[in-house]
Amino acid sequence: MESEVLDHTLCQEMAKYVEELTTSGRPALNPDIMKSFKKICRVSSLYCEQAYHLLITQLEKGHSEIRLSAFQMIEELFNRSHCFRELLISNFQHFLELTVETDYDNPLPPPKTASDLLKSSAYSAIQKWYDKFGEEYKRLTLGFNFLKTCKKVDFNGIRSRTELQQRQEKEKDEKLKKIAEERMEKTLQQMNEMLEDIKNTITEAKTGFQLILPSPDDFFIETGENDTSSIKKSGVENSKTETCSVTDGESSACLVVDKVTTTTKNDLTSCSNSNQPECEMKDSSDLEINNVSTCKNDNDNISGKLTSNNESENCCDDLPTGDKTNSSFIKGSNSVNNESESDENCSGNEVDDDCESDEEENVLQEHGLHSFKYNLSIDMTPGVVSLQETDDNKDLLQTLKDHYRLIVTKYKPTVNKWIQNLTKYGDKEDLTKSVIDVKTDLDSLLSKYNEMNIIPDDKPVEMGDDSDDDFEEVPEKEGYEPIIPPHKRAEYGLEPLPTSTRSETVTQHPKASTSRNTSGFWSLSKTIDQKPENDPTTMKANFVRLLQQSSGTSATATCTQSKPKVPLTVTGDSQKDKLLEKAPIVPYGVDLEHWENPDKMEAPLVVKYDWLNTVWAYTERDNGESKADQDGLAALKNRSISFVGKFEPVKWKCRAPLPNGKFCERMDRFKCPFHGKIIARNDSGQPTDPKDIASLSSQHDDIDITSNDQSYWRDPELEADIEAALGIDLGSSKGKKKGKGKGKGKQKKYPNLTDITEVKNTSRNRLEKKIFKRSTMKRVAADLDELDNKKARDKFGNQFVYQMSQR
Amino acid sequence: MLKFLFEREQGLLDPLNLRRAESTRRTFALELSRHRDVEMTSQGAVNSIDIDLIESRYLLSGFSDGTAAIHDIINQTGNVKYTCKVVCKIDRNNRYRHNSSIQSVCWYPLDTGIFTTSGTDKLLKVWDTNNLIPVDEYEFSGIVYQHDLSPVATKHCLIAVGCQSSRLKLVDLKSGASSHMLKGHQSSIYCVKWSPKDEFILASGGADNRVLLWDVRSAKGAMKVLDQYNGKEPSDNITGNTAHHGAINGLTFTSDGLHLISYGTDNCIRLWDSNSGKNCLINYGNVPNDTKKLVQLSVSNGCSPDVLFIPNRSNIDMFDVYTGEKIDRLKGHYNSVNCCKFHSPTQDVYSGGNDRNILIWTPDTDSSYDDYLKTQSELKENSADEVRTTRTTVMIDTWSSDEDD
Repeated sequence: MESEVLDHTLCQEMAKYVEELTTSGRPALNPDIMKSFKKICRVSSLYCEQAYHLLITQLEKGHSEIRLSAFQMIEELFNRSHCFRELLISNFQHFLELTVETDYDNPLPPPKTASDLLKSSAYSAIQKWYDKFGEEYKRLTLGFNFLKTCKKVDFNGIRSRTELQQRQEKEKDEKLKKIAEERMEKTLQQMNEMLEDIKNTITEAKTGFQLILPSPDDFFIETGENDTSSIKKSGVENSKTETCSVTDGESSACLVVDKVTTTTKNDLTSCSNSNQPECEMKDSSDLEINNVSTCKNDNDNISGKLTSNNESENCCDDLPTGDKTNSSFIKGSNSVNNESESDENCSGNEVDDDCESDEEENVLQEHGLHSFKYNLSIDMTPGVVSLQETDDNKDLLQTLKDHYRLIVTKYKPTVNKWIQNLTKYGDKEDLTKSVIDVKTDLDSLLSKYNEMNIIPDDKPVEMGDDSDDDFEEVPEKEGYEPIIPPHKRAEYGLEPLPTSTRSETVTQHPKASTSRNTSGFWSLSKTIDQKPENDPTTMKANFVRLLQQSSGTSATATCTQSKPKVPLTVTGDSQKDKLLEKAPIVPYGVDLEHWENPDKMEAPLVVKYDWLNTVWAYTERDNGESKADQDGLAALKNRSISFVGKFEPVKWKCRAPLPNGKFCERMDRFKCPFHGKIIARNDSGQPTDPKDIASLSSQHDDIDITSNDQSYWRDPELEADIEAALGIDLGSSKGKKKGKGKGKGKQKKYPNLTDITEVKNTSRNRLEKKIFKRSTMKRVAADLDELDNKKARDKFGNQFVYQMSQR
Repeated sequence: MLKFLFEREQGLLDPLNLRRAESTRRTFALELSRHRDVEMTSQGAVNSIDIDLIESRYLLSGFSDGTAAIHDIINQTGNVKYTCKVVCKIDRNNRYRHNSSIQSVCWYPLDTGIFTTSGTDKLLKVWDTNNLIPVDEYEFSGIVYQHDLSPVATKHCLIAVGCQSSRLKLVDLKSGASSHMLKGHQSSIYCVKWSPKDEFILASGGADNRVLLWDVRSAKGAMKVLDQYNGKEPSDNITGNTAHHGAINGLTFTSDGLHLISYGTDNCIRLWDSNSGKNCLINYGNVPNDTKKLVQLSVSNGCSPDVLFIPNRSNIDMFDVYTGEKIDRLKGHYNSVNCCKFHSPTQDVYSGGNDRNILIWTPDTDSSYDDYLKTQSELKENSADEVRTTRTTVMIDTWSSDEDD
């Protein structure tokens, strides 16, 4: 014997697969799992044996869906493994009992549809097996004959049925093929017609885009760099010779002028001076090229001067700040300037060796840099490109727009359809590829158009009311203007206001503040003064404390310190004091009176009636008094202020859809007791806010999970509270517990299978419920008893006396 | 085996021993025959089968639709694959056939020219095999469950008939009348069996849970009433000693006639000493038995532990007669098995059941059939190679390559 050993993990895996497949509850097997299962069975016949046992145990389960799946698996293996065939056929009678109901005492288990399917598929499978293997496996033949002769299974019918099915399938396939061919032909024809058009449109659109947005490469083909640089060189040299003679003082003046007149020049120089390799110009806003070219021209004249200035004067500190914004100008100019600078350097080298180091330092200093080691990277993210529609490009844009529309509405869908058809039916790969290329072209065009962000020219809209808008609209003024700003007094023919009167009119407080603001440079002493002395955290308080601790000399210091404060307070609160003098003092409450020292608060005294007789008086006087005191104190300490809000009537309704088609008419402020939080709803009662929708749907899910109608509106906490208050069990806890228990019990092991234990609502059940109800039984029994009693009474009612007398 | 042969050659071994060893080996290796079939003749269940004693060649079978058939079970064609052909049969068109189910069939032990059938139409018929005409008919008051002819009888020619009444009838073929009536049972008699050793000894079992041993020479009463407790327990006053707790519907003697085996509806098999009438108290375990009619048991002949073949629903169980050990279970029928018969010359077993099949169980000891198949396929390969595919391909695994990935 072979010393083959079953791998435990593989066995477990098999068991898992079997369980998974058989409890899926679906009429067909999952091919992937089945494949892996077969793969294990393939390893050796031992695994086949294991599989056989597993499947037979599954087949014995009292659920037709499990049986059906198990049977399907058996069929798969039966067709493949000899070992499995042997095993199954050795126990074929049992198998027949379990699949085709040969034993009438053990009918197939409940789900009717599954059992029917199982039976029919088993019959056809057995018939197929017989045809294929019947010669070799005697028992199979016997079984087949048994079914045929004893069970009167019409295998010929099954065979013919399967043949019919096959024929039908064949016909169906042919039909589908025909349809596919037709579609293919159609698409090809369509493609022949339309592909040219589409390609034309694409090229047109492309050229249109090129005209509107020429790519940066196109610019610099015509303007050769060498020319400009040569010009520059001469210019620079010239300027240099000129500027060498300029003195320091003059140059500074020059620089000032430069600053004022052209910022662009500065920028250019900065560009030239900063030897940044990162300065890549990927600017897509090529429209500004004209502007730049003018700059270049200017630059020829001035750059020399500037560089000299920079060399002599190092006051260009603010230049680098401008860099970032403006350095993103033009590649050409930059390179040119770089060149010019390098030239300069060269010349410098020729003149003097020391000059080089000086120059480097200068460069560093100009940019406020410490060394060259800085690596300044500038992000050149192209911003949102937008294109203004103008008269010049209007026609172009119009054609582009037309193309866009055409592509979106017509070409794109058709091309998509083509691709679909080609991939589905066709096997012409090159054709599909070409179509896909066309599609990508279209996509790129569309995206380009979308990126372009054309700002439509709104001139034609305003054309109509152009004449009306000639005048600027001015807000109307109505005659008398009481306030005349001081600087306009002259216009109105008034004398300028005297400053004294002005100061008089203004109140003291603002004045103080202004003075403080204007003259108010921050100073320590002032801030110290401003802080109140009481606050122990402030510096002043600490000073005071220290001074008090120290000797008498410090007393004068405190005086001087505190002196300036006094007039200030006096001046500030003089008016208030006056008012306070006049104002009557009204006691507001005991607690406010004793705000600062609540301990001193006293409870109102309880008057002791000493003079009364003890009979009338309160016996436990002392205790009562103290208690009363405590209560009184507490009452005094508390202050209740009733908030008197303004009543706003509710203007909205819940409007949640009701089952009868109407909306909930409740008018609650925040929450409807039936439908929860009140939210915005549309005409059909559906929530409009996406947040609400999400929360609602999640709520619904919760409800579905609990699936208990009562628990939907029952609030367990609230109910518990009510129960606690009433002392009556309303069933909240019971329901909860029950629900929990149910949930545990209900959690089915195999949720995919149909539940066969489920009690069906049949007429028999309903009748049973009615007839065998306890109360009904009782009633019937009582009636019968009554009848019996009556009978007995009629018969023997009069015998009582005799009975007694006989004794 | 070789050792046996060698010793036999040397004359050290009794020829019986060799024969016994080999037949035992073969009997223990019974399997459903792959190369022998019995031709199906009837649309009814097989209720009873019998093999003639003279040639051990003809298989007589009675069906539930009143028909009977005789098959030739000796293969004289030279082919390994063989289907037992019907020699003759009493088909449904035969005007003399039983009107209802045949319950029991029996060959005349001395000649294959006569056989007997009995059935639920209360008739016992004696047939002339050659003409298929009943030469004699006996009517009884109730359904005839079983009848039997003594295999060793020389001095008498009696047919014991157990029928629905409590009286066991003896039909004398010589006189052509039911000569005796044996009174002793209290209810219908399901099974009767002559002893293979003593021509006058008869055993019968019935619905009254009793097995009686008769000596037909004394008409007074039963010779012995078999007691399952061997007198250890007080017997019931009404029924007397009982053999089982349920009706007895299977009885057979061992081939040497020393023991009697009874099978009851209490799912028990009991072995009795036929001389003393004592229960041998051998436990065969629980063998389900829920039929209310005759079940034909069979015991092997010439094996060193004799083997009991007993129908157990749709299977046939094999037991060691003297130890009660279960040897094997023969699976092949698709419905309950009614009868089985051991064919001693070739150690085959024939069985019939409600699935209308008569199956042949042959010893599966050698690979002769496989060899034959191989040669066959080779032959076919040479001649026509399209046929060979089926046989060879069927036996191999056909794992398709799509499981590779």
